[in-house]
Amino acid sequence: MDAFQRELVELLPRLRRFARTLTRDVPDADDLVQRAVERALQRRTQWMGGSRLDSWMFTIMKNAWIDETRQRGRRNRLLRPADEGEAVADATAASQESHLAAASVEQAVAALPEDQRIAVALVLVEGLSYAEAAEVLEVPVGTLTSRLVRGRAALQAQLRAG
Amino acid sequence: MTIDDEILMAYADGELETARVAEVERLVAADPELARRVAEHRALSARLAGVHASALTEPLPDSLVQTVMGGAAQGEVVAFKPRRLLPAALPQWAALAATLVVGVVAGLGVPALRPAPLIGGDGMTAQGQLAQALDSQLASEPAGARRIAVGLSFRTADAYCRTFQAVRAHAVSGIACREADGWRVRLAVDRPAAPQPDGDYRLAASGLPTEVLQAVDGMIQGDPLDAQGEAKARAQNWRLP
Repeated sequence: MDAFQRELVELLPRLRRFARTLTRDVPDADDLVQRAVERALQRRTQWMGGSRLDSWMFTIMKNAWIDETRQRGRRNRLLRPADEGEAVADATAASQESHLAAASVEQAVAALPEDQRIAVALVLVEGLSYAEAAEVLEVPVGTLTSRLVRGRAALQAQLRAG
Repeated sequence: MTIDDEILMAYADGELETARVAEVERLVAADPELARRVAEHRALSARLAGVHASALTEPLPDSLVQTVMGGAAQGEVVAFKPRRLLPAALPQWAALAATLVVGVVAGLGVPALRPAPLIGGDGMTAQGQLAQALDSQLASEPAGARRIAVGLSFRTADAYCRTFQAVRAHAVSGIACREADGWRVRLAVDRPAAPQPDGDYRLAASGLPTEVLQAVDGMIQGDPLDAQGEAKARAQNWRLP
């Protein structure tokens, strides 16, 4: 086992945590970590040793997730056009219910739109600085902070109501 | 001046540019409503820090660890099949341990293990000075001029186990457990521990590589043995009563 692999193993618990916020589902999260790790191993020559492996891995994972959701979206459009409306209605109902019940923090985070959810996960759960999180998301810092402000406002509203 | 929420949030997060901190601080101190909002931001941050924290302590899926380790098979000398080395019933850290053992043995190469290998050809059985040290040395005794230091002794569900550190020629630290036919090395990593003051198992443990400490955490039942418990276990030849 070399230094890269050792660092990657040490990072796995945090990668799993970040993946759970992204996917909102434990098995999906581990599938995502698996794919991200495979990509990382293929591209390990692109990692600059000494720079932060966590940020690099979060970027890979975020991109893998975007690919995944795009594929899912395509599949859903092609295969189940009728079901999709129902699924959306269910999700809305579930989110309102959890809103009324004492919404746990995790549920509140899960209810955020994806861009806000990722910003919140990187800064408030993973503890990245604004600049680091913006780099992971490949957006300007201003974009990151506005997502963060909106995400926090939504969380505070939901947790207060809950 | 009014403060928008973005600035207040950056202030609460410690992300505001230094030049503006004093100004915002003054405004917050003078305005209870602003102070309340800052407190609200910080309370939310504190709650969010615990989101999905269970992911940090749950055992890692085997497949994930093996994927990471599998990268070694392509680029390096190590090819391994942890499941063949260990009974399937062992917890997942053991699979990791097996990969580490193979990595260590392959990494050190045969010359480093001559003339008296500490671990047998199967990569699992302690022998020579390591077996002797595990049998006879007490962690509470000074290591002195010995080649092997024994750090922590502890109980698992089915065996006594001890951590060891080779302090001279072999840069190996790990965990061995007493089984029916001898000491089985459950984990070995190719880094020596930092030199430790003698006699205190907690200090001794603090010098162990993280992998070893994490593995101990996953195996240990109750507290590590104290000097008395160790002496008793040695008297019983490290067999559980």
